[in-house]
Amino acid sequence: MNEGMKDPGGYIDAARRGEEAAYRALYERYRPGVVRLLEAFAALDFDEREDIVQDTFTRAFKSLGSLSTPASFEAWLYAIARNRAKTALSKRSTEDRTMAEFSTEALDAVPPFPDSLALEVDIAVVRDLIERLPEGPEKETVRLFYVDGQLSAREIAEKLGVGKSAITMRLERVRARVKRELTLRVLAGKV
Amino acid sequence: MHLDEATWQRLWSDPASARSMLDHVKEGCDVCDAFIASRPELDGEVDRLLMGLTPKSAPLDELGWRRLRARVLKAPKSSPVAWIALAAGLAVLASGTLLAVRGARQQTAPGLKGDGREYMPVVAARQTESGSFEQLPETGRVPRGSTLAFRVTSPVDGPARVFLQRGKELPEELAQLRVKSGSNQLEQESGLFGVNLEDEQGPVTVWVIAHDVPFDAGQALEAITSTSSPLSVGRVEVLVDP
Ligand SMILES: [Zn+2]
Repeated sequence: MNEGMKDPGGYIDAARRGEEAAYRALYERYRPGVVRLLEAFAALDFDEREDIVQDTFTRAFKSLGSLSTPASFEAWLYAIARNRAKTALSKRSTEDRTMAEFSTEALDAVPPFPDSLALEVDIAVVRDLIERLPEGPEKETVRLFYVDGQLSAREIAEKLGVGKSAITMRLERVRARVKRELTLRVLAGKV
Repeated sequence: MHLDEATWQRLWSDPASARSMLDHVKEGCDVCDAFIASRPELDGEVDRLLMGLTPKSAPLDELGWRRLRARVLKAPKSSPVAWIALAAGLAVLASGTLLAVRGARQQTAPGLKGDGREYMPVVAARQTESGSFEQLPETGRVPRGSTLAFRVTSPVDGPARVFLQRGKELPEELAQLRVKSGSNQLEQESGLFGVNLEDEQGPVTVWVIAHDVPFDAGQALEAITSTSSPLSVGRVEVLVDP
Protein backbone atom coordinates (compact mmCIF):
# COMPACT_ATOMS: atom_id res chain seq x y z
CA MET A 1 0.00 0.00 0.00
CA ASN A 2 1.50 3.34 -0.94
CA GLU A 3 1.61 6.48 1.11
CA GLY A 4 -1.32 8.19 -0.55
CA MET A 5 -3.66 5.41 0.46
CA LYS A 6 -3.44 6.20 4.14
CA ASP A 7 -4.60 8.96 6.39
CA PRO A 8 -2.00 8.34 9.10
CA GLY A 9 -2.73 11.28 11.31
CA GLY A 10 -6.45 10.97 10.80
CA TYR A 11 -6.18 14.50 9.44
CA ILE A 12 -8.93 14.18 6.88
CA ASP A 13 -11.44 12.97 9.41
CA ALA A 14 -10.41 15.66 11.87
CA ALA A 15 -10.63 18.33 9.19
CA ARG A 16 -14.11 17.12 8.33
CA ARG A 17 -15.01 17.82 11.94
CA GLY A 18 -13.66 21.33 11.44
CA GLU A 19 -10.49 20.98 13.52
CA GLU A 20 -8.16 23.82 12.72
CA ALA A 21 -4.98 21.89 13.53
CA ALA A 22 -5.94 19.28 10.97
CA TYR A 23 -6.50 21.88 8.26
CA ARG A 24 -3.14 23.32 9.07
CA ALA A 25 -1.41 19.95 8.98
CA LEU A 26 -2.95 19.16 5.61
CA TYR A 27 -1.94 22.54 4.25
CA GLU A 28 1.62 22.13 5.43
CA ARG A 29 1.89 18.65 4.11
CA TYR A 30 0.38 19.11 0.68
CA ARG A 31 1.14 22.71 -0.20
CA PRO A 32 4.59 21.88 -1.65
CA GLY A 33 3.04 19.35 -4.03
CA VAL A 34 0.36 21.77 -5.15
CA VAL A 35 2.94 24.50 -5.74
CA ARG A 36 5.16 22.10 -7.69
CA LEU A 37 2.22 21.00 -9.80
CA LEU A 38 1.41 24.62 -10.62
CA GLU A 39 5.03 25.42 -11.38
CA ALA A 40 4.66 23.18 -14.43
CA PHE A 41 2.33 25.83 -15.86
CA ALA A 42 4.91 28.26 -17.17
CA ALA A 43 2.21 30.72 -18.20
CA LEU A 44 1.27 31.38 -14.58
CA ASP A 45 3.19 34.07 -12.76
CA PHE A 46 4.00 34.07 -9.07
CA ASP A 47 0.90 35.98 -7.98
CA GLU A 48 -1.45 33.85 -10.05
CA ARG A 49 0.12 30.70 -8.69
CA GLU A 50 -0.24 31.80 -5.08
CA ASP A 51 -3.88 32.71 -5.72
CA ILE A 52 -4.54 29.27 -7.18
CA VAL A 53 -2.89 27.59 -4.20
CA GLN A 54 -5.22 29.48 -1.89
CA ASP A 55 -8.20 28.75 -4.07
CA THR A 56 -7.38 25.07 -4.30
CA PHE A 57 -7.18 24.57 -0.55
CA THR A 58 -10.22 26.71 0.10
CA ARG A 59 -12.28 24.63 -2.30
CA ALA A 60 -10.90 21.37 -1.05
CA PHE A 61 -11.48 22.18 2.62
CA LYS A 62 -14.96 23.47 1.97
CA SER A 63 -15.92 20.35 0.05
CA LEU A 64 -14.23 17.66 2.11
CA GLY A 65 -17.66 16.17 2.59
CA SER A 66 -17.77 15.19 -1.07
CA LEU A 67 -14.51 13.28 -0.88
CA SER A 68 -15.44 9.62 -0.86
CA THR A 69 -12.37 8.21 0.85
CA PRO A 70 -9.62 9.95 2.84
CA ALA A 71 -7.13 7.83 0.91
CA SER A 72 -7.79 9.73 -2.28
CA PHE A 73 -7.33 13.18 -0.75
CA GLU A 74 -3.97 13.92 -2.33
CA ALA A 75 -5.00 12.95 -5.86
CA TRP A 76 -8.29 14.77 -5.42
CA LEU A 77 -6.48 17.92 -4.25
CA TYR A 78 -4.16 17.81 -7.26
CA ALA A 79 -7.14 17.40 -9.57
CA ILE A 80 -8.68 20.55 -8.08
CA ALA A 81 -5.39 22.45 -8.46
CA ARG A 82 -5.03 21.40 -12.08
CA ASN A 83 -8.61 22.46 -12.77
CA ARG A 84 -8.07 25.83 -11.16
CA ALA A 85 -4.94 26.40 -13.22
CA LYS A 86 -6.68 25.48 -16.45
CA THR A 87 -9.61 27.69 -15.54
CA ALA A 88 -7.34 30.64 -14.80
CA LEU A 89 -5.51 30.19 -18.09
CA SER A 90 -8.66 29.71 -20.15
CA LYS A 91 -10.19 32.83 -18.63
CA ARG A 92 -7.11 34.72 -19.66
CA SER A 93 -6.70 33.34 -23.14
CA THR A 94 -10.27 33.23 -24.34
CA GLU A 95 -11.23 36.48 -25.99
CA ASP A 96 -14.91 35.75 -26.22
CA ARG A 97 -16.39 36.51 -22.85
CA THR A 98 -19.36 34.20 -23.01
CA MET A 99 -17.13 31.46 -24.27
CA ALA A 100 -14.80 32.03 -21.35
CA GLU A 101 -17.64 31.73 -18.89
CA PHE A 102 -18.90 28.63 -20.57
CA SER A 103 -15.57 26.85 -20.54
CA THR A 104 -14.87 27.96 -16.99
CA GLU A 105 -18.06 26.38 -15.85
CA ALA A 106 -17.16 23.14 -17.55
CA LEU A 107 -13.69 23.06 -16.07
CA ASP A 108 -14.72 23.96 -12.57
CA ALA A 109 -16.30 20.63 -11.90
CA VAL A 110 -13.75 18.24 -10.49
CA PRO A 111 -14.09 15.00 -12.43
CA PRO A 112 -15.35 12.18 -10.28
CA PHE A 113 -12.50 10.11 -8.98
CA PRO A 114 -12.90 6.54 -10.12
CA ASP A 115 -13.54 5.00 -6.73
CA SER A 116 -13.76 1.52 -8.06
CA LEU A 117 -10.16 1.57 -9.20
CA ALA A 118 -7.70 -0.24 -7.07
CA LEU A 119 -4.94 2.30 -7.45
CA GLU A 120 -2.02 0.37 -6.16
CA VAL A 121 0.34 1.58 -8.82
CA ASP A 122 3.62 2.30 -7.18
CA ILE A 123 5.87 5.27 -7.69
CA ALA A 124 8.52 2.80 -8.80
CA VAL A 125 6.45 2.24 -11.95
CA VAL A 126 6.67 5.93 -12.78
CA ARG A 127 10.35 6.09 -11.93
CA ASP A 128 10.95 3.17 -14.23
CA LEU A 129 8.89 4.71 -17.00
CA ILE A 130 10.97 7.87 -16.84
CA GLU A 131 14.21 5.91 -16.79
CA ARG A 132 13.13 4.14 -19.96
CA LEU A 133 12.57 7.42 -21.82
CA PRO A 134 15.15 7.94 -24.56
CA GLU A 135 17.82 10.47 -23.61
CA GLY A 136 16.80 13.87 -24.93
CA PRO A 137 15.20 17.16 -24.04
CA GLU A 138 12.02 15.52 -22.71
CA LYS A 139 13.88 13.31 -20.27
CA GLU A 140 16.15 16.14 -19.23
CA THR A 141 13.13 18.35 -18.53
CA VAL A 142 11.41 15.67 -16.48
CA ARG A 143 14.53 15.05 -14.46
CA LEU A 144 14.93 18.72 -13.72
CA PHE A 145 11.30 19.27 -12.85
CA TYR A 146 10.20 16.13 -11.04
CA VAL A 147 13.35 14.35 -9.92
CA ASP A 148 15.50 17.32 -8.91
CA GLY A 149 12.35 19.20 -8.06
CA GLN A 150 13.91 22.60 -7.58
CA LEU A 151 13.29 24.67 -10.71
CA SER A 152 9.94 25.85 -12.04
CA ALA A 153 9.03 25.39 -15.72
CA ARG A 154 9.96 29.01 -16.30
CA GLU A 155 13.35 28.56 -14.70
CA ILE A 156 14.00 25.38 -16.65
CA ALA A 157 13.12 27.23 -19.87
CA GLU A 158 15.69 29.83 -18.96
CA LYS A 159 18.32 27.26 -18.06
CA LEU A 160 17.84 25.26 -21.25
CA GLY A 161 17.37 28.32 -23.42
CA VAL A 162 13.98 27.34 -24.83
CA GLY A 163 10.54 28.92 -24.76
CA LYS A 164 8.66 28.43 -21.54
CA SER A 165 5.64 26.88 -23.23
CA ALA A 166 7.95 24.20 -24.65
CA ILE A 167 8.75 23.10 -21.12
CA THR A 168 5.09 22.91 -20.15
CA MET A 169 4.43 20.85 -23.29
CA ARG A 170 7.27 18.44 -22.54
CA LEU A 171 5.93 17.93 -19.03
CA GLU A 172 2.44 17.40 -20.43
CA ARG A 173 3.74 14.75 -22.82
CA VAL A 174 5.33 12.87 -19.97
CA ARG A 175 2.14 13.17 -17.92
CA ALA A 176 0.30 11.67 -20.89
CA ARG A 177 2.70 8.72 -20.89
CA VAL A 178 2.16 8.17 -17.20
CA LYS A 179 -1.59 8.40 -17.65
CA ARG A 180 -1.50 5.86 -20.46
CA GLU A 181 0.61 3.49 -18.39
CA LEU A 182 -1.69 3.94 -15.42
CA THR A 183 -4.77 3.32 -17.54
CA LEU A 184 -3.32 0.16 -18.99
CA ARG A 185 -2.20 -1.20 -15.66
CA VAL A 186 -5.47 -0.50 -13.94
CA LEU A 187 -7.48 -1.99 -16.77
CA ALA A 188 -5.18 -4.99 -17.07
CA GLY A 189 -5.66 -5.57 -13.36
CA LYS A 190 -9.39 -5.58 -13.85
CA VAL A 191 -9.51 -7.81 -16.89
CA MET B 1 -11.86 1.41 -34.31
CA HIS B 2 -10.44 3.79 -31.69
CA LEU B 3 -11.33 4.78 -28.18
CA ASP B 4 -14.26 7.10 -27.80
CA GLU B 5 -16.55 8.15 -24.99
CA ALA B 6 -18.71 5.03 -25.17
CA THR B 7 -15.87 2.50 -25.30
CA TRP B 8 -14.04 4.41 -22.58
CA GLN B 9 -17.01 4.14 -20.24
CA ARG B 10 -17.39 0.49 -21.10
CA LEU B 11 -13.70 -0.15 -20.40
CA TRP B 12 -14.14 0.89 -16.79
CA SER B 13 -17.48 -0.69 -16.12
CA ASP B 14 -16.82 -3.95 -17.91
CA PRO B 15 -13.20 -4.24 -18.97
CA ALA B 16 -13.50 -7.86 -19.96
CA SER B 17 -15.84 -6.91 -22.76
CA ALA B 18 -13.30 -4.46 -24.09
CA ARG B 19 -10.26 -6.67 -24.09
CA SER B 20 -9.63 -6.20 -27.78
CA MET B 21 -9.64 -2.44 -27.33
CA LEU B 22 -7.18 -2.79 -24.49
CA ASP B 23 -4.89 -4.87 -26.70
CA HIS B 24 -5.17 -2.24 -29.42
CA VAL B 25 -4.15 0.54 -27.02
CA LYS B 26 -1.28 -1.54 -25.68
CA GLU B 27 0.16 -1.89 -29.16
CA GLY B 28 0.41 1.87 -29.37
CA CYS B 29 -2.04 4.06 -31.22
CA ASP B 30 -1.65 7.84 -31.45
CA VAL B 31 -5.38 8.44 -31.73
CA CYS B 32 -6.20 6.43 -28.64
CA ASP B 33 -3.22 7.83 -26.73
CA ALA B 34 -4.48 11.35 -27.43
CA PHE B 35 -7.92 10.33 -26.20
CA ILE B 36 -6.53 8.93 -22.95
CA ALA B 37 -4.41 12.04 -22.44
CA SER B 38 -7.52 14.19 -22.74
CA ARG B 39 -9.45 12.30 -20.05
CA PRO B 40 -9.47 14.07 -16.70
CA GLU B 41 -10.43 11.11 -14.49
CA LEU B 42 -6.88 10.06 -13.72
CA ASP B 43 -5.32 13.53 -13.61
CA GLY B 44 -5.07 13.67 -9.86
CA GLU B 45 -3.66 10.18 -9.56
CA VAL B 46 -1.06 10.86 -12.26
CA ASP B 47 0.04 14.00 -10.44
CA ARG B 48 0.17 12.15 -7.14
CA LEU B 49 2.51 9.58 -8.64
CA LEU B 50 4.70 12.22 -10.25
CA MET B 51 4.84 14.25 -7.06
CA GLY B 52 6.08 11.12 -5.35
CA LEU B 53 9.32 11.59 -7.29
CA THR B 54 9.84 15.11 -6.08
CA PRO B 55 11.69 16.09 -2.95
CA LYS B 56 9.44 18.41 -1.01
CA SER B 57 11.21 20.75 1.31
CA ALA B 58 9.28 23.96 1.06
CA PRO B 59 9.55 26.32 4.03
CA LEU B 60 6.54 26.63 6.26
CA ASP B 61 4.17 29.06 4.62
CA GLU B 62 2.80 30.80 7.67
CA LEU B 63 1.31 33.72 5.82
CA GLY B 64 -0.44 31.49 3.31
CA TRP B 65 -1.86 29.47 6.16
CA ARG B 66 -3.23 32.57 7.85
CA ARG B 67 -4.86 33.69 4.61
CA LEU B 68 -6.36 30.29 4.12
CA ARG B 69 -7.56 30.05 7.70
CA ALA B 70 -9.37 33.35 7.30
CA ARG B 71 -11.13 31.99 4.23
CA VAL B 72 -11.97 28.54 5.50
CA LEU B 73 -12.42 29.07 9.20
CA LYS B 74 -13.09 32.27 11.05
CA ALA B 75 -11.25 35.54 10.62
CA PRO B 76 -7.84 35.54 12.30
CA LYS B 77 -7.41 37.44 15.51
CA SER B 78 -5.09 39.99 14.00
CA SER B 79 -3.83 40.66 10.54
CA PRO B 80 -0.40 39.14 9.95
CA VAL B 81 1.21 42.45 9.26
CA ALA B 82 -0.54 45.72 9.49
CA TRP B 83 0.71 48.19 6.98
CA ILE B 84 -0.77 51.47 7.81
CA ALA B 85 -1.25 54.87 6.41
CA LEU B 86 -0.10 57.28 9.02
CA ALA B 87 -2.35 60.13 9.92
CA ALA B 88 -2.37 63.00 7.49
CA GLY B 89 -0.79 65.23 10.06
CA LEU B 90 2.25 63.03 10.12
CA ALA B 91 2.52 63.04 6.39
CA VAL B 92 3.95 66.51 6.62
CA LEU B 93 6.80 65.06 8.59
CA ALA B 94 9.69 67.30 7.84
CA SER B 95 11.89 65.58 5.38
CA GLY B 96 14.78 66.92 7.37
CA THR B 97 13.86 64.58 10.20
CA LEU B 98 14.35 61.57 8.03
CA LEU B 99 17.28 63.04 6.21
CA ALA B 100 18.96 63.27 9.54
CA VAL B 101 18.51 59.54 9.90
CA ARG B 102 20.11 58.81 6.57
CA GLY B 103 23.05 56.60 6.87
CA ALA B 104 21.99 55.09 10.13
CA ARG B 105 21.09 51.77 8.55
CA GLN B 106 22.60 52.20 5.17
CA GLN B 107 25.74 50.33 6.10
CA THR B 108 23.69 47.32 7.06
CA ALA B 109 22.92 46.44 3.48
CA PRO B 110 26.37 45.34 2.40
CA GLY B 111 25.23 42.34 0.41
CA LEU B 112 23.58 44.54 -2.11
CA LYS B 113 26.49 46.68 -3.09
CA GLY B 114 28.47 45.59 -6.08
CA ASP B 115 26.51 42.38 -6.67
CA GLY B 116 25.04 43.53 -9.97
CA ARG B 117 21.79 44.96 -8.75
CA GLU B 118 21.12 48.62 -8.65
CA TYR B 119 21.41 49.44 -5.00
CA MET B 120 18.87 51.87 -3.65
CA PRO B 121 19.61 53.42 -0.26
CA VAL B 122 16.69 53.08 2.14
CA VAL B 123 16.55 54.43 5.65
CA ALA B 124 13.87 53.99 8.24
CA ALA B 125 12.71 56.08 11.15
CA ARG B 126 10.65 54.86 14.06
CA GLN B 127 7.58 56.67 15.29
CA THR B 128 7.67 57.25 19.01
CA GLU B 129 4.71 57.17 21.35
CA SER B 130 4.41 60.95 21.12
CA GLY B 131 4.10 60.67 17.34
CA SER B 132 7.44 62.12 16.44
CA PHE B 133 10.09 60.17 14.58
CA GLU B 134 13.44 59.10 15.79
CA GLN B 135 16.48 57.55 14.28
CA LEU B 136 16.91 53.79 14.53
CA PRO B 137 19.76 52.73 16.78
CA GLU B 138 22.88 51.39 15.15
CA THR B 139 21.93 47.87 16.25
CA GLY B 140 18.63 48.07 14.40
CA ARG B 141 16.74 46.99 17.53
CA VAL B 142 13.21 48.30 17.78
CA PRO B 143 10.48 47.63 20.35
CA ARG B 144 7.62 45.40 19.30
CA GLY B 145 4.70 47.43 18.00
CA SER B 146 6.95 50.03 16.44
CA THR B 147 5.83 51.81 13.32
CA LEU B 148 8.46 52.56 10.72
CA ALA B 149 8.49 55.17 7.97
CA PHE B 150 10.96 55.11 5.11
CA ARG B 151 13.01 57.37 2.91
CA VAL B 152 14.60 56.10 -0.27
CA THR B 153 17.10 57.58 -2.65
CA SER B 154 15.69 56.18 -5.84
CA PRO B 155 17.58 56.02 -9.12
CA VAL B 156 14.29 55.75 -10.96
CA ASP B 157 10.95 57.43 -11.29
CA GLY B 158 8.25 54.76 -11.30
CA PRO B 159 6.38 51.99 -9.50
CA ALA B 160 7.72 50.46 -6.30
CA ARG B 161 6.78 47.40 -4.29
CA VAL B 162 7.45 46.96 -0.60
CA PHE B 163 8.01 43.50 0.89
CA LEU B 164 8.43 42.36 4.44
CA GLN B 165 10.58 39.35 5.21
CA ARG B 166 10.62 37.59 8.56
CA GLY B 167 13.97 35.96 9.13
CA LYS B 168 14.63 33.86 6.06
CA GLU B 169 11.00 33.28 5.14
CA LEU B 170 9.61 34.13 1.75
CA PRO B 171 9.13 37.91 1.57
CA GLU B 172 5.53 39.03 1.71
CA GLU B 173 4.25 41.95 -0.29
CA LEU B 174 2.94 44.86 1.76
CA ALA B 175 2.23 47.62 -0.68
CA GLN B 176 2.55 49.02 -4.17
CA LEU B 177 3.65 52.60 -4.30
CA ARG B 178 5.38 55.07 -6.59
CA VAL B 179 8.76 56.63 -6.06
CA LYS B 180 10.35 59.66 -7.61
CA SER B 181 13.90 59.85 -8.74
CA GLY B 182 16.06 61.20 -5.96
CA SER B 183 15.43 61.30 -2.26
CA ASN B 184 11.81 60.87 -1.23
CA GLN B 185 9.82 59.39 1.59
CA LEU B 186 7.61 56.43 0.83
CA GLU B 187 4.05 57.61 0.49
CA GLN B 188 0.76 56.30 -0.65
CA GLU B 189 -2.41 58.13 -1.57
CA SER B 190 -3.56 58.51 2.00
CA GLY B 191 -0.26 59.84 3.27
CA LEU B 192 3.02 58.59 4.56
CA PHE B 193 3.55 54.86 4.17
CA GLY B 194 4.34 53.06 7.39
CA VAL B 195 4.97 49.48 8.48
CA ASN B 196 3.56 48.42 11.79
CA LEU B 197 5.56 45.76 13.60
CA GLU B 198 2.78 44.84 16.01
CA ASP B 199 2.87 41.10 15.35
CA GLU B 200 6.53 40.80 14.50
CA GLN B 201 9.40 39.46 16.48
CA GLY B 202 13.07 38.87 15.69
CA PRO B 203 14.84 39.81 12.48
CA VAL B 204 12.67 41.57 9.93
CA THR B 205 13.80 42.97 6.60
CA VAL B 206 11.78 45.54 4.70
CA TRP B 207 12.59 45.46 0.99
CA VAL B 208 11.83 48.24 -1.45
CA ILE B 209 12.00 47.38 -5.13
CA ALA B 210 11.58 50.02 -7.79
CA HIS B 211 11.82 50.25 -11.55
CA ASP B 212 11.00 52.80 -14.20
CA VAL B 213 8.38 50.55 -15.81
CA PRO B 214 5.69 48.35 -14.20
CA PHE B 215 6.82 44.96 -12.88
CA ASP B 216 5.01 42.17 -11.10
CA ALA B 217 5.50 40.72 -7.64
CA GLY B 218 7.31 37.72 -9.10
CA GLN B 219 9.90 39.95 -10.70
CA ALA B 220 10.26 41.84 -7.45
CA LEU B 221 10.93 38.59 -5.60
CA GLU B 222 13.46 37.63 -8.24
CA ALA B 223 15.18 40.95 -7.67
CA ILE B 224 15.37 40.15 -3.97
CA THR B 225 16.78 36.69 -4.41
CA SER B 226 18.93 36.97 -7.52
CA THR B 227 21.85 39.26 -8.07
CA SER B 228 21.26 39.99 -11.72
CA SER B 229 17.88 41.71 -11.77
CA PRO B 230 17.54 45.02 -13.59
CA LEU B 231 15.28 46.31 -10.81
CA SER B 232 16.50 48.66 -8.10
CA VAL B 233 16.60 47.05 -4.69
CA GLY B 234 16.98 48.50 -1.23
CA ARG B 235 16.37 47.16 2.23
CA VAL B 236 16.29 47.99 5.90
CA GLU B 237 16.95 45.35 8.53
CA VAL B 238 15.59 45.62 12.03
CA LEU B 239 15.49 43.35 15.03
CA VAL B 240 12.13 43.47 16.75
CA ASP B 241 12.40 42.96 20.49
CA PRO B 242 10.09 40.27 21.85
ZN1 LIG C 1 -6.67 3.61 -31.60
